Amino acid sequence: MTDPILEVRDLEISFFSGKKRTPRTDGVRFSLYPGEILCLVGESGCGKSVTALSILGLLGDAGRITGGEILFDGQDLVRLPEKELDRVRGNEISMIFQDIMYSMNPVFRIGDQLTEGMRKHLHMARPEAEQRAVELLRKTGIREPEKAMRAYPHQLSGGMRQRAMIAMAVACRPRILIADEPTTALDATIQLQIMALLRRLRDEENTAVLLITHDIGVVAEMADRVVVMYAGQCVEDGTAESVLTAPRHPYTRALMRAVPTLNMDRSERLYSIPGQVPEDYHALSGCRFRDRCPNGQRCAGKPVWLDLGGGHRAYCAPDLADGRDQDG
Amino acid sequence: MAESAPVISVEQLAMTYRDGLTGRRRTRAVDGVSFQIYEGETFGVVGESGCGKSTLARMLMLLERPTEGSVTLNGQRLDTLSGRELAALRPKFQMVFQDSGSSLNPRKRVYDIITEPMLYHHVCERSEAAQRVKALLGLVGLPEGVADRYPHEFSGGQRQRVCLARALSLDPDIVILDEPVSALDVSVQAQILNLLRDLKETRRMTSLFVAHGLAAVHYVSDRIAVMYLGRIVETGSADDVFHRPAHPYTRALLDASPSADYAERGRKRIVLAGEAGGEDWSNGCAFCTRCPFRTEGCERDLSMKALGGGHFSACTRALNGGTGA
Repeated sequence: MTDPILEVRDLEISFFSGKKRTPRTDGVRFSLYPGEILCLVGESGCGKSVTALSILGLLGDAGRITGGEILFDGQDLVRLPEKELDRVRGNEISMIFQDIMYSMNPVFRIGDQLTEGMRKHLHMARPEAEQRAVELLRKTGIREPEKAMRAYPHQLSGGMRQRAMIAMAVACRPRILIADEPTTALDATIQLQIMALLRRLRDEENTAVLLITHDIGVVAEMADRVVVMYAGQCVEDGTAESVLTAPRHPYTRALMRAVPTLNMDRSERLYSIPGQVPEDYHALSGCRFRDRCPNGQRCAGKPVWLDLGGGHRAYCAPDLADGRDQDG
Repeated sequence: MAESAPVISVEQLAMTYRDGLTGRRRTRAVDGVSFQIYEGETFGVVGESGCGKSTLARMLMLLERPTEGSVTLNGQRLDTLSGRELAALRPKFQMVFQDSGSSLNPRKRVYDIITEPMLYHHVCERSEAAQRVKALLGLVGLPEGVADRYPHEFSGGQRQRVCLARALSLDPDIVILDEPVSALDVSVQAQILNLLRDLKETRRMTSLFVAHGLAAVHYVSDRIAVMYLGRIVETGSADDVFHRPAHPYTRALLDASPSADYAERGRKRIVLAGEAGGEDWSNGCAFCTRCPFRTEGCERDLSMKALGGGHFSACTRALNGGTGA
């Protein structure tokens, strides 16, 4: 394989309120390669969105990266001065958000917002940028791009806004596109269109896509590789095929069993994970899933990164190498 | 089931909103919807945003007065009643909303949240209330001790359990569930879906389940209706509708639903172009502008075709993978 374009190493993000420091993630580690779609999956609060925001230095006032590094092309984004980060942000790495309404300025026309990045980063003149913007909108499947250019965000439907948002994000031909739940607010038939669009973008521009989602279905449809997060940590990663067809971590397995599918036996009860994510998980030593794990009783709770071959790894106890849950 | 009388029966229900500055522009959110729900049955309604499924749920609760059609609960017509008469009947039909956070009063303890409707409607004495609360909490799988807590102290899944306990406190004939699991994480969603199944089995709970997650609806529902732009386009048993879809829209919806099964990646499917609505379809089939199976003039035929076993569809062109009936 080629070198990764982005490497996140033992990332620790903490939130501060007054003097109190609360770690949100630690031990987040993954690599992103050019031209691949990497899915970061986990339930709410697992730290997947903060991880994404931290890559672009968008944590805001309360959050801070307190450890680890984010290597983009070998340079550490964590230690990069704001000014230089500005050159990367929206240019080489760009992002699309779930909440499209809040990620566009309601008082500027789509056209103005779309061309802003190109004029700033690529130093394009307005007519040139506008021409490219129209082209981009057409490519994302907007039927009357000239009309959309003159529209304000509220005049477009959710699916249209997400398309415009994607056009905006790819305007400067980024090498990495971070998409945080880009289809969660959209209808299924529109979601399918947006997913196809992201895939085409990857194929045509060789863009690396970091896709953040809570939906295993989206992972199964989109991912080349998967990183599963639980309670602020990565617990499993590997190719989509090996993680989804042979999950090793009990959490990944539980997550997959909890999702109802259309062809499941409806008389069967859905599997649900007992208990909930511990609130002060950062203070726990060892495995954070232990209390909810079907193997928790017979496990020492001392996880290590197990190499399962083919780039598939899981952060679990080696003494359960048989890899089967106790309950089945 | 058809031999007994339905718990709730809806005939030709329609809702037209007036909007625009002068109220001259009209939006037909729900149009000519009819169905019956029988005792102990869960009736699922699926569709995308704007299809009218939430408006339908609100009309069943008489939170919105239908502009046409009737809602009949156990033989009693609801839509013609006055507000006061309705209030007296409200214990018989209850609702659970998607956002449990905003449907519970943040300043009240769970105990008061659950007892308030019972005391208001005189279904129990203040002295029995504690006993009832304990039983209800047990029913929805919450420990007794939570009665003294406030809503913000709970997770989303637990709050949804409180909402269910409150809805069930009046022993309603039917519970309207509007996207009850859509805001929840998968592992929690599984718990609530299991709970709904349990309540159906142990208490013969009758419900209308509105959601956009197809697999969740399929899991809890006996029968399902698929809505598109205000109309029911296909209805039947859960397996008939989702395993043998007849309507092209149902097919497309199923195809669009991401499957967690890796083996199904890249399966052949219909990718719809465009979005719902927008284009003028006047009185014909609202789906015709996006339909891959459209034939000359087919959009004018909106009658529901019987496919046997209570399976009806406004179109049969998606049957057998698109070869038609």
